[in-house]
Amino acid sequence: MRDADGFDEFYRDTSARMLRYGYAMTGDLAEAQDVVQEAYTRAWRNWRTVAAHPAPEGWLRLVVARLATDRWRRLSGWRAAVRRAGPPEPVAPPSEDAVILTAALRRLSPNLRQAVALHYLFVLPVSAIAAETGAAVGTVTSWLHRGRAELAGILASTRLPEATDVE
Amino acid sequence: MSNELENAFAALSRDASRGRLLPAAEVRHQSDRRAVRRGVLTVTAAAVVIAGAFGTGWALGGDDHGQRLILPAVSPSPSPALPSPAPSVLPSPPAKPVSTPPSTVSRTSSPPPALPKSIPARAMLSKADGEFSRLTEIWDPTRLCGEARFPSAAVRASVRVVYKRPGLGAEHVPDDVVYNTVSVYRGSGAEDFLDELRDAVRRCPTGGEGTPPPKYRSLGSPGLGEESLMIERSAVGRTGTGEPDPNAEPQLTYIVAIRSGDAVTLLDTTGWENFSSIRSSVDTLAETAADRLTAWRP
Repeated sequence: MRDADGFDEFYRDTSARMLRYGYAMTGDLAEAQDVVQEAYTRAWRNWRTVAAHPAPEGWLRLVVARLATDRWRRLSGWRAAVRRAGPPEPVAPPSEDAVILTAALRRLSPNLRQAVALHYLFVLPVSAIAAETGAAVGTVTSWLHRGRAELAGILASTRLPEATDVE
Repeated sequence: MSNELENAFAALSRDASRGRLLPAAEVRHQSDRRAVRRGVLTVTAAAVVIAGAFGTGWALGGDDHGQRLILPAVSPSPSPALPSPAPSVLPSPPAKPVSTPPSTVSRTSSPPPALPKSIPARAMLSKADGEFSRLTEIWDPTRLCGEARFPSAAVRASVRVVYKRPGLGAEHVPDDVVYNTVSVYRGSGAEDFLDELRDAVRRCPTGGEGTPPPKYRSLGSPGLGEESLMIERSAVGRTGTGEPDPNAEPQLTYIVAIRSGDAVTLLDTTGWENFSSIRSSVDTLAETAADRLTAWRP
């Protein structure tokens, strides 16, 4: 018998963070919702395993990262379920800073995007990112260097027109 | 620039609060419904004699008539504290030119998930499960007939375990000799493999190696992993010297396929000598194999 209360508590504690992660990985909030809901569905199906896992949230993040970069994934249902669940809510426009960052993140390779997102959203040290991704510590350090440098370059070039607008 | 990145991620975190997620109970409910639906599909397919298309694809749409759920906004827990900038940033490379607007970036530009270089031991049955050996050749029990078109696995490994139930003394022979093959596929290959296996047992109820060839029967899904299939293989009973004996009880062994993401773990039980496999032992090993695969490649 799977522990529904345990799952529900885990979901309440982690789902907001996971949505931020999915947003960073996919660059699209609706897509992130699909990916995150799918990941928790898989977690519930394997809840005994996930609950006994030394890092259940890391397990979830791994699923989210894989779904976010899997172009063959089958996630057609979740958006429809959310739509059926209630009338459309007033949708606030996305913030400009978030749009710029997600656009920049989508230009990074998946490995760099994953490392940077884990670093900034979950405050994971290099060793933890290495353990979660299965990469060597030196490789993750390189990903972080390159990811941050590429992001900085993209963000700088994105904002450049404002700085030269005096002409 | 480091502060700018921190601020940008903080903005992303705030922006994510616009998202909506289903309540936890509803996620569980949908997950269980999907499992049941897959089971129903499998049983239905087994009952159909003629070959035909059989999809395991799942969609939520269309059958939740009248359900209205109260959706909470994503819980407004604060964004995690942002870390100090370590490691330090290397000199920035030249920024890539912006050639594609973000809104038009296609999902198809994303690469598939990284394939592993090999199958780790922790993903398979191991010496903890019985007398163990890693095989140098892949053990593939799925050649039920020549018509199946199984996708090629990108990475595979096979092991053999001689299984004896815990608590049985040295005077007892083992329960079973079990082969476990774990495969990782590109794209939708893992799902295609399960589809093809279901189809193969339907199209080829008799075939494969053996004289006379064994008979196969789908037992449906044992409910493991994301999807799974158990097949019973019935071979002619044999005398103590190994000769076919039409009056003897048939030897029953099992093939179990369990998928998690892009990976499939396959169990092939061969029984001990001419004895049938013990079903409860097969179930135990299948659960173990599913747990190992799911923990490695969720």
